[in-house]
Amino acid sequence: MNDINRGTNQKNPTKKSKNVDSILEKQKLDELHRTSLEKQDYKTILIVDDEPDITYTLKLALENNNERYKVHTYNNPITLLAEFKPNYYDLLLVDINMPFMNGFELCKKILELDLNVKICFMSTGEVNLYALRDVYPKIGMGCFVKKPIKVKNLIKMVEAELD
Amino acid sequence: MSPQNTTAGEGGGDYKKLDTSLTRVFYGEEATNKSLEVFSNIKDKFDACGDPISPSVCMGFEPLKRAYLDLKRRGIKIRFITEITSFNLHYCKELLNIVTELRHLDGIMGNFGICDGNEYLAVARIKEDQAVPQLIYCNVREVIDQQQYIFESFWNRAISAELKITEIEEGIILGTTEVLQDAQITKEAFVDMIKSAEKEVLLLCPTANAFLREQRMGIIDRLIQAATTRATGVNVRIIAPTSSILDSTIDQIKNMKCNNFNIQRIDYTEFVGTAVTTVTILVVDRKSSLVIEKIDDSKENFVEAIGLATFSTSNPTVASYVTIFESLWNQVKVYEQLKINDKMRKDFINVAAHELRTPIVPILGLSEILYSRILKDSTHSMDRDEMKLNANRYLEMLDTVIRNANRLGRLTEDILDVTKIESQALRLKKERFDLDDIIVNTIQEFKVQVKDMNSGSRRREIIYESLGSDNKDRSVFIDADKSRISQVLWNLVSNAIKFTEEGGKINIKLDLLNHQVKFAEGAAEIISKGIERDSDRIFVVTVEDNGPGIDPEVFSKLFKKFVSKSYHGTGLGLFISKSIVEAHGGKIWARNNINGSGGAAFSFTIPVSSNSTNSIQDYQVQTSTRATAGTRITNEGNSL
Repeated sequence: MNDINRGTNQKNPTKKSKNVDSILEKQKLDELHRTSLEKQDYKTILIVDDEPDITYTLKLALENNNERYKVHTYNNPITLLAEFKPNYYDLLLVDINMPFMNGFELCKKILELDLNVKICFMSTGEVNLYALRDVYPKIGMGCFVKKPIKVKNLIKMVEAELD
Repeated sequence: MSPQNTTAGEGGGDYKKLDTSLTRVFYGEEATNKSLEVFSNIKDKFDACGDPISPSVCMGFEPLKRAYLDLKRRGIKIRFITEITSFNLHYCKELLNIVTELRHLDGIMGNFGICDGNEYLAVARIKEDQAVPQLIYCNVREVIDQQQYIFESFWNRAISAELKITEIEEGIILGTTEVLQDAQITKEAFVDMIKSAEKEVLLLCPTANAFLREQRMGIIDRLIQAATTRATGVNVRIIAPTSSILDSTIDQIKNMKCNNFNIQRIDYTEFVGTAVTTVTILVVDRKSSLVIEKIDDSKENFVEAIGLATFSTSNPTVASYVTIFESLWNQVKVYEQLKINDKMRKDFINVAAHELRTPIVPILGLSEILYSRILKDSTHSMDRDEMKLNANRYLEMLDTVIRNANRLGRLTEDILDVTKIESQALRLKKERFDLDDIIVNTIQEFKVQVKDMNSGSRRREIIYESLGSDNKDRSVFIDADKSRISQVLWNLVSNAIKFTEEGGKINIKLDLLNHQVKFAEGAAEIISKGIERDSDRIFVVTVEDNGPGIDPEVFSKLFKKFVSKSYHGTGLGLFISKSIVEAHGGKIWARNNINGSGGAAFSFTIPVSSNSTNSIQDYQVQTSTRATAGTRITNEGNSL
């Protein structure tokens, strides 16, 4: 998986401004250029949860004042599977209790498509992580999002997982 | 045969004395005739003492019985001693009505009688119901005195016949208990008892091996046969221990699904800490019991494995074993129910925890984000457009926070209601009110509330058909908890709204039926009953929609807790509604519309107020006019 290529070629096509005469526009272009360079380092995170208000909140929490994360969200695991792009995401935050297909089943299918993706499960209940690790060796030990979670803690957890 | 005369004294005396003081033996007919002659001469008293056969001779041999009856008629004082047994019981009872006093003494042999203290009659051996074969007659004073002493000493030792009769009669009911030492006999008794079963067999096996041994003996097959083929259908119940080696056998038996044959598994150690019993207990028809000790559970053969056994037909013993069996049987049931309840409780907590925590994620997360954004905004200068853009974003966040806070609030109320229902603490504040008003109010409330929640997009139409709405004086009174009934309506209407798209129609109907509602397979059937009393009349409120209908997957568990195919419901509304309706003595049910229009219909009934001012006739008129006159409450704005 090549982060730089992915970042530039797939997710962030270079934008061009037609008005280059004014200083303001130039400044903006500079700014854009600068951020686009920085964005080569950003990480792409996928959040899957059947509650739209939760995906909305977590996306905002991760993207808020933080240029390093680009967050995609899905509320239906079936739709996600149909549209899933292998080798595209750096981290998956997957809710365990979902209708149609639970988080475990979903990840089993995703791991068939993308062996390298990191996964953090999310749940409102208690989950035995050690038992989970036997089934999903890719799961980070410290990475389990117990909902509700403070924004600060969520960011810390995601940072730790991506480092 | 001729009587043999004997002199009373060895040395002889004068003839007259010899003639009057004599001892003679009479045989055959003469024996009977002599005894009847002596009986007829008794003036004052007759003392008799006889073996256990004697009552049958006195009462079963007709001439002698007549003689006894004659004695009674003449007011002769008769004292009678015999050994009362279960075999001569009915003769003794007869005798009891004739003689002055009857007493019982154990082990009497031979028979004699003393008439007026002057004559002595004796018979050594007698046969049941037959005339005496011979009779010893004696009027020798010394002999009579001696026999009188014997009689008196017997009399004083004898016990009251009533006492003995009671003892025997109870004894017959009590039955007997015996110890079986021979294992082979025990085995035969086991099989015989099961063969003889007419109504019921209770079997408690202490160990899995005991069960297997009995199975090898053919006991289990015999029991299955008794339960399935015997005309009366013997009701068989077996308690066997939980042990994996029995799993396949017991599953096999359970798969036969024979109503008369039930096996329950019991974990003895879990129940009482130690093995509850080391004996096999068999009770047949609640009349006999066989309790078998095991001495070597490792043995495969029944005869080798068992020790002593007690067989009993004694009522208290058998009843005690029945009680032991029934207690264990019920305990297993209670224990199974406890396990189910425990699982239900845990499930409820898990689901409730999920439902409660979910809305907290946006409430907490968005508040934090808003906080940091506003803090950041306050230190930066912004232009108007940026401010406007930010304000719109923040309002969207706040909308989400409020929506989730509301959801949390509703859920909290619902969970508290469920807790009240389950702890039977749901109290109804009943008052008399017009059901019509409540329905109209609920619809009005929806117009306001739903517009607030879904601004602009999801237009709905709610149509209400009341009873004879053209009649302004009508009153549809019920005695119920106003806020609870309105909660039920709110739940049903909000479900209908949830499951209908734009252009959806929700019909609310109020009917008055003189019927009873019967349930069959989740749907309701209205059975006509005719009007007899006020209590026979019920209001039926139906909320119908033209949405996709009820998912077959959830249909059967619709009114249970946390059943929802919607991601915006608590899954508790229908459970609560059902409890409220039932607390009011009503019923609630659902059906999918089968007339092709699709959609679901939920109905509930509520009894008519018993002192309603309207006459039955009025209601009938109103019901018949209802079809043409419906109150139409539709949303005039763009959204509902």
